[in-house]
Amino acid sequence: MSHYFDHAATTPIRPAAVEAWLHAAEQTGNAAAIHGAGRAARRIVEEARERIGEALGTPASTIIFTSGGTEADNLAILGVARARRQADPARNLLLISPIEHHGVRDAACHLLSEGFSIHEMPLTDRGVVNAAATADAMRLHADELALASLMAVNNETGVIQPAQRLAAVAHDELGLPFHCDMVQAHGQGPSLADGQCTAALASHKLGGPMGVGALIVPRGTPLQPTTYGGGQESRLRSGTVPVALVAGFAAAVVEARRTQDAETARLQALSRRLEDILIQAGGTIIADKAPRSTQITFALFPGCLGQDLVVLLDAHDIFVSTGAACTAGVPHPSPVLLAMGCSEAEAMTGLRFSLGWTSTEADLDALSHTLADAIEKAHR
Amino acid sequence: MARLIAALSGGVDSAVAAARMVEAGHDVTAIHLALSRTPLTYRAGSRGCCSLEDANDARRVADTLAIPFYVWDFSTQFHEDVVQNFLSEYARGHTPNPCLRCNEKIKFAALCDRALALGFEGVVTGHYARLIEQSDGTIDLHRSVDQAKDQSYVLGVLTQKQLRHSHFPLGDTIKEEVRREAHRRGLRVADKPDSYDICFIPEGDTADYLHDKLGYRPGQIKDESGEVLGEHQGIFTYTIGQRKGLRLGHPAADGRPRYVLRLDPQDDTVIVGPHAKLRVDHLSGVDPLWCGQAPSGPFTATVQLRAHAQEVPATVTPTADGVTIRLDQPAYGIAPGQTAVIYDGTRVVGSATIDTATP
Repeated sequence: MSHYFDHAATTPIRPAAVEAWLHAAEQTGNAAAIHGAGRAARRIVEEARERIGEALGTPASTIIFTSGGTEADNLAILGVARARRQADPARNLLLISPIEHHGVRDAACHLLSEGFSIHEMPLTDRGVVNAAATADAMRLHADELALASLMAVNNETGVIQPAQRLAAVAHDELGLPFHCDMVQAHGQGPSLADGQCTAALASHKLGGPMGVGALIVPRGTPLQPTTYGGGQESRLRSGTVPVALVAGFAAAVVEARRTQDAETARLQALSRRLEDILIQAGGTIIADKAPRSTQITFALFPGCLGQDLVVLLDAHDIFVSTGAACTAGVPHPSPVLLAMGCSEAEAMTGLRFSLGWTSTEADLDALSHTLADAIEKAHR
Repeated sequence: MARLIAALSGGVDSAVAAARMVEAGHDVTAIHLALSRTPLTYRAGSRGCCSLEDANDARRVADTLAIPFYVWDFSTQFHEDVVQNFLSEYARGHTPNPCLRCNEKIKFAALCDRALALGFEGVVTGHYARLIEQSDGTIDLHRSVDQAKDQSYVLGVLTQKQLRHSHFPLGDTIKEEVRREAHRRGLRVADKPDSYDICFIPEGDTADYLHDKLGYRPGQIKDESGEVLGEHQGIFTYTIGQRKGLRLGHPAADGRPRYVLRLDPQDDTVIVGPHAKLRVDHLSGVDPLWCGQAPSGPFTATVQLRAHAQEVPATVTPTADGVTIRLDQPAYGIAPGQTAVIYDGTRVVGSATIDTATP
């Protein structure tokens, strides 16, 4: 039996999502076709959109389906920045946090080549964006800013960011478009009902199938498409809508929302025990003083290489992650930890443990039996 | 059954080596070494061992064998121990072999040490060489049965401790059979071309690479009398024994071809002369490494002076800080920095880095 501690990478698919996906996958029909088969497919897509909207408290019409979180982030950053500058050439400044996911960060960096510039939000050594200073920066640069972007929960440290507060300042006070990467939010972050920001979601982080996600685009958001073709999703995103994936996504969102309160309490207890086990084994919890998601814990094990611990725990079917990986599978020091002031060597001693809907006490039992031995072997 | 690391390069040899150890019942974990600090700038083709494509090929081999697969990053050590050594050796007019350094410092040192620390018992590679255990427990390193593919030369730097943790399952097999076996086992790398070039040199152009890293250090090309015959852009792009590409304006007085005899890093001079002056009968070697017991006195042996060269009968005498080698028949074009690997029949006795080569 394996023990999965990598829900932040992807979480097991929920039975309700499998069922919805399978059911829809057996149907024939392109949702953009006007005949009966097309109408049936379109109905599945629109019902999924409505169910997601209802679960998240946002009108169905604000949901743009994408291939996942990264495409949603890209669409928001590139699409909003370009639209804003087209309307006002003075708006060529992007304000983003130094701990954004690559889906945001690399899109923003790409805009440097189009003449935009980037300001980074100030970060405290606890891994939280300084909200007051960031609000001041937004006010100071209000006339030049194309957009601001801050994730709800950091994907490596689990630190909850002041995205709700800053989205309110941006939207209500300054009329500034604000993007929030909510891929790891799990109930944290801005309320989508307020329509204060665009928000990126990924189905497979919620227990839905991989390959689908959404960008929530409140009415009135200036946004240009970044892909060109049939314009299937409100002319903002082109490409045949994957009917079955969307159906599975919706089932996962509904299930996650329905069980959220009970799950949060359950995971809180598991998370407390997890962190006790890690500290007992000599680990240091990153950002332990900051508000954190119950689902993500990043710990440093001085004297060990995180990757060695992955190998040793893997041999016992315990699956953890060093937090970041490139295409070749070579771990690099986490840019998030570096931004928080860790040295490269320190950052390489880290492991990310992330919990989810299938996590149990038995997982923690297995970890507590194995971790000390692994740390002893990995210690250099 | 042993818990072993198999170093998978992404090529056919290491794939079959790993497959054989899995089949023999060992608990094998595959490791691909990331040696480049910027993988996309090292070899992008299929013939190096550092490209993303090679990492993916290695991963697919591990999938096929149903064994765990990890990429271990040794790029910093590789840069310090292999690439920097390669550059500094060339800069001082020597001709190093980076594959030997990589085996000595990375594959059978850094990789092996990390594996042992994590509870593994040894390292499997696809090298063509044989290990034979003596009755007293000593492990002897021998040439492979495939003489054309034999890689005992580049393993001649391994010590008894390192050999003890090494496994070379391909030593008794010829290359063609290894490829056929890869086909039979359904390994997708069965027909992947062999790698011949230095893995960290893009496009295989060593001179270009050295200019890029060491710049241009112009100097003169002279004959032994001191007459200036031409100019060059850096002594490191020349090798002792080289004849082509000297671009000397006029022929030698005797009309015979001229060869590079010496590289002088002090005043950046390339000395050229007739073939007879390349003759070498005596060598001195430094940094000797012995595969087993260090020899106590002179002994007769054969020595191989570069990869894929013919071996030469010789008398080897250990000295306080190295060895001296007297060749029974002359060798030509031997450069300091090359490694002399010493054999007793097919058995590797040890090796030393050539320091001086004289008639």
